[in-house]
Amino acid sequence: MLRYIRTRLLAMVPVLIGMSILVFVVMRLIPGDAAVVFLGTKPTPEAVAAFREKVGLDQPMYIQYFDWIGRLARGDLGISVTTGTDIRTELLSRLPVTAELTFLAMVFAVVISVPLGVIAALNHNRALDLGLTSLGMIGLSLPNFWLGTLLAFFFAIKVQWFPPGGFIPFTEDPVGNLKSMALPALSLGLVSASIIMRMTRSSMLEVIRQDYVRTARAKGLSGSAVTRAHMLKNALIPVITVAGMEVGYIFGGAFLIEAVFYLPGIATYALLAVNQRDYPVLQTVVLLVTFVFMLINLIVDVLYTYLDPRLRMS
Amino acid sequence: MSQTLAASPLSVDALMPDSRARRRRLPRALQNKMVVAGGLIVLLLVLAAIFAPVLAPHSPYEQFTTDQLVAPNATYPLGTDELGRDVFSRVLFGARISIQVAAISVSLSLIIGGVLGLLAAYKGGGWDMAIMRFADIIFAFPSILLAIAVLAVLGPSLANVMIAIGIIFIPIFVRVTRAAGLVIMQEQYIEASKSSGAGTARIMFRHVLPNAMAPLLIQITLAISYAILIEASLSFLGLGAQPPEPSWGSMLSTGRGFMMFAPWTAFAPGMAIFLAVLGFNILGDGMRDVLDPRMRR
Repeated sequence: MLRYIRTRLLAMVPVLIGMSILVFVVMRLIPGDAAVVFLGTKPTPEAVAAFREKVGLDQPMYIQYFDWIGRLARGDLGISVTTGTDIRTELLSRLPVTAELTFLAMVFAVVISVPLGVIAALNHNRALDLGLTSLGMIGLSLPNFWLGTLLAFFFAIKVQWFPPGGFIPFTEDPVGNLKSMALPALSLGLVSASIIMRMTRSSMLEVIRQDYVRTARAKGLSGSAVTRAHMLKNALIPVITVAGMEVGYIFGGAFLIEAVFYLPGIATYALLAVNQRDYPVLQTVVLLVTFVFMLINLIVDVLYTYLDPRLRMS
Repeated sequence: MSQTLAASPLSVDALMPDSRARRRRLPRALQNKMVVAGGLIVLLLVLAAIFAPVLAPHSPYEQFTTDQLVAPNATYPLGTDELGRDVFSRVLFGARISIQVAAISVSLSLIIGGVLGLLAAYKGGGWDMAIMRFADIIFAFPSILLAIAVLAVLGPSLANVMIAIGIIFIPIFVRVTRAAGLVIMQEQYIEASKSSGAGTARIMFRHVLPNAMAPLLIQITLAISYAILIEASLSFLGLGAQPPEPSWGSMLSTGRGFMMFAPWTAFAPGMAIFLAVLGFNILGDGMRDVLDPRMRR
């Protein structure tokens, strides 16, 4: 197992290097000089030169790249060219928002999807199955920012059960925090819930036909015991893979949901950076978010291999 | 979303070189309820896009300054927006933008990804290695983040949205065509064609590509649905279509601000995005049932 993790981590290195070069080069192509953004519309040539020297823009590209990577490796994420603030401090203060949003959305998605998928499979081709499958298709096609808008409209503006946006830290007011995250997490998790439900259903249908399920039934085990001990345990393996992939996609979906609910997370930081042409912020956020995305995928693969002994053998 | 793309199993069983089998698929497809239902929604969407200038009661840009935020009525079937423009006409013209962006971006990635995938399968070795690592790097980015980064560089506009979405899909089509190509390359007819002196391009495009069509078709349908969604998302964030373009995403983004007293300004574009995505998703699911025998139950 350890060797597998090591191989996978090593395989990530070339991808990460390629990605960092790509991100770095691409970010240098952003039209408009950061100096102009930072110094106003009519800076003096001396001020521009001084600024470029200060942030290292006067160096050749490859030196700038190695400088950036070297500093990243030491945990120095650089300074925003528009606000002058430390990117690391800013990211650390925003990380809890995005992490909590992603976590809650994922919990919501898994908690409702797996039971519904099992119910649909156990009622294969009956009305209940058809209803749940149709609901799954609708959920899959509902854009999260549209669902978020609808939920905010009905539950925050019409009936005022939840705040329409903003973030309350958990440490300040746990109940307020959960209330402020409920609608965003719901909007973000629904698409994934639909996908995991569909996967659970088809995976269960696959297992239902297996000989060992028939044997278990023939032994006289009760329906629910067969479902739990024999079917679910095996059916959940592919579900975990899909659920794991969803963590990454939920993370990406946060970009829209944070904008809809005005949450001060990492996504809003990146969007702000785009609008302000703050490329040090953007390139760092893009690289770090992608790195986390890759790590999540790795963890899922490891978990998958751990759960499925057949994969471990090969 | 893209998970549907990535997770959809590649159907190698669906490759049927025999042309009779291929011809049989159309009537079989029409017996599939999902194909028919999804196809109908898609057809309506395409017709709306084509005939928008005929169907729309007003110009999507014309501002009736005395009729701002008017509720739906006979003159304005879906009401008017904050500038007094007819929402129904804007939604119809919005279908044009969605279809156009989806068609162009998916074609772009299909052409680039398809050629790279076929090359990887056909040439193997170093080519395969280089192409697949390139695809891995692009695939490693969360797609919306990649699109945002591309738009940060190119600047916000619909044309750049097409490029951004095109880039996102390249690895998917590289993988699908490569995987299908690798299987087909083992077939006897390829060997026969090679021994009769056919060149690389001829084998790739005359033999490998047509037989890789089934998995490609499924991916194309799902990619279109996702492209519509990403275009709407990017325009919603202000990075895609710029005002006064009637993109559903930007209409929804502006309409959100008037939800309290003019909910139709957000409902109409929101429902349009949902229905368009739903149509292509149902069609894609149905097509997978028809084209991929393993998935049928």
